[in-house]
Amino acid sequence: MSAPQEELEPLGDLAASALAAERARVLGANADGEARARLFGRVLVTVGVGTAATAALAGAAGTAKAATGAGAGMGAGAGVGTAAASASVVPIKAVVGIAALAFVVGTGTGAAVHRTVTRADSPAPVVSSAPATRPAPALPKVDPTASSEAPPTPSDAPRPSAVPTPSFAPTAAPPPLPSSSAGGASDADLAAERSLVDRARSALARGDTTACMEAVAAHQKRFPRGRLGEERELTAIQALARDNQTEAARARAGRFRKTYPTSVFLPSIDRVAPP
Amino acid sequence: MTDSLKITAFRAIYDANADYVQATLRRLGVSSAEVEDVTHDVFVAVFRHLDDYDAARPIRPWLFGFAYRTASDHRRLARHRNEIAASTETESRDDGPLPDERLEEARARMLCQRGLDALDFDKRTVLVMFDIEGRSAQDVADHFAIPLNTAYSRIRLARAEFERHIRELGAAR
Repeated sequence: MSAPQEELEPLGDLAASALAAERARVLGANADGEARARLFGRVLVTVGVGTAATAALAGAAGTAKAATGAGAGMGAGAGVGTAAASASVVPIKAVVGIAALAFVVGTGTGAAVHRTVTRADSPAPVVSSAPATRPAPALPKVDPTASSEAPPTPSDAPRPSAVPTPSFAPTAAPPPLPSSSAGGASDADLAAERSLVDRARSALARGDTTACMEAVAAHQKRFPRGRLGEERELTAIQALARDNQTEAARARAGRFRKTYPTSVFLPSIDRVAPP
Repeated sequence: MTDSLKITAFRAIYDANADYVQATLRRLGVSSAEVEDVTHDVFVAVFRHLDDYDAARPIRPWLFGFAYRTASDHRRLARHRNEIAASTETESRDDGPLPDERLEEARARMLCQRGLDALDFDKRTVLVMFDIEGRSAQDVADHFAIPLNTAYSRIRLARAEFERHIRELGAAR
């Protein structure tokens, strides 16, 4: 900020220090990697590539091992530069493999399907497309006088939310997802999977590791090759660690690392069961 | 771009900037309870416009445009008004004991947030752009499609009002 500020009077100390503190905020200091990965999955589901990618993955590779193999081959770099202002830029070549990505997609899809199933009274999730109708260029032009009378945008439509839904999914077939091309049957399976894994996670969240491990076992039995196996295993390992079953947690974590070498959950696993 | 390449590029953008977008939304008045949903909306829009992104330009000002629009739409919805008004309380989340200097910094940040909360949306945006993000007055002018001189007077007005609120809030502590 050079020349322009000369024309402005300096800020008072209190205001200057308040703004400086906000400016110095360390982004990502309290970042929750899992929450971030989940949110990314939600975004993909909303834009419609989530379900397609999941379906492709499920079709190409029934087992996680095959999926990671495919991911290793497909993790090529893309040619979009991300010239972030100050943060270190993630080199695209180093971006996680498609397999790990697709898993996140799967998680998000499951969550969305489950929400759709459990909230059958609400319409299928629709997401704000306000910026889509008014594209935001590098320097968006805004008419400040128009803001008060601007028409309502579609962004008040319901959207997939992160509201936890620990209840059991009903057996009704889920309505189609937006822009989804995935088959209904597999979506129903995914909803059932999501329900079990959610049950395990909410049990863990309230400290009921017994109920958690029961739901884990139920999922494992019913969906030995399920799409949410990775999340189930994460939950199981966290529950075991919480129960101080250190050896069991470590053994399970060891299998997890072999099965899902590119998992986005590895940092979470390492925290509770160090390698 | 094929789908998988597009997703890979998008993921890189998301990973490097999700925190920035969340912080920007908070600065623009989105409550902590809703910031995740609104961040979702921002990145949905970003994905849909990924092909418009000019890689020769810095990405954060581009993302700011989406964050601004989404936050602006968000606050227009009547059902969110109360939550926005209540957003002052949410920053004081207890992160456990802090060393003195960090405590002081956390206090200053909270003061900043409350000072911002007292401004209307346009003034708030001006301060976030100019005094927090360090963007130029010309950027502010371009953003609002106003002449540079007008941008300066808006910056002055926003600062004056912010200072007044900050002084009151600081004195009340």
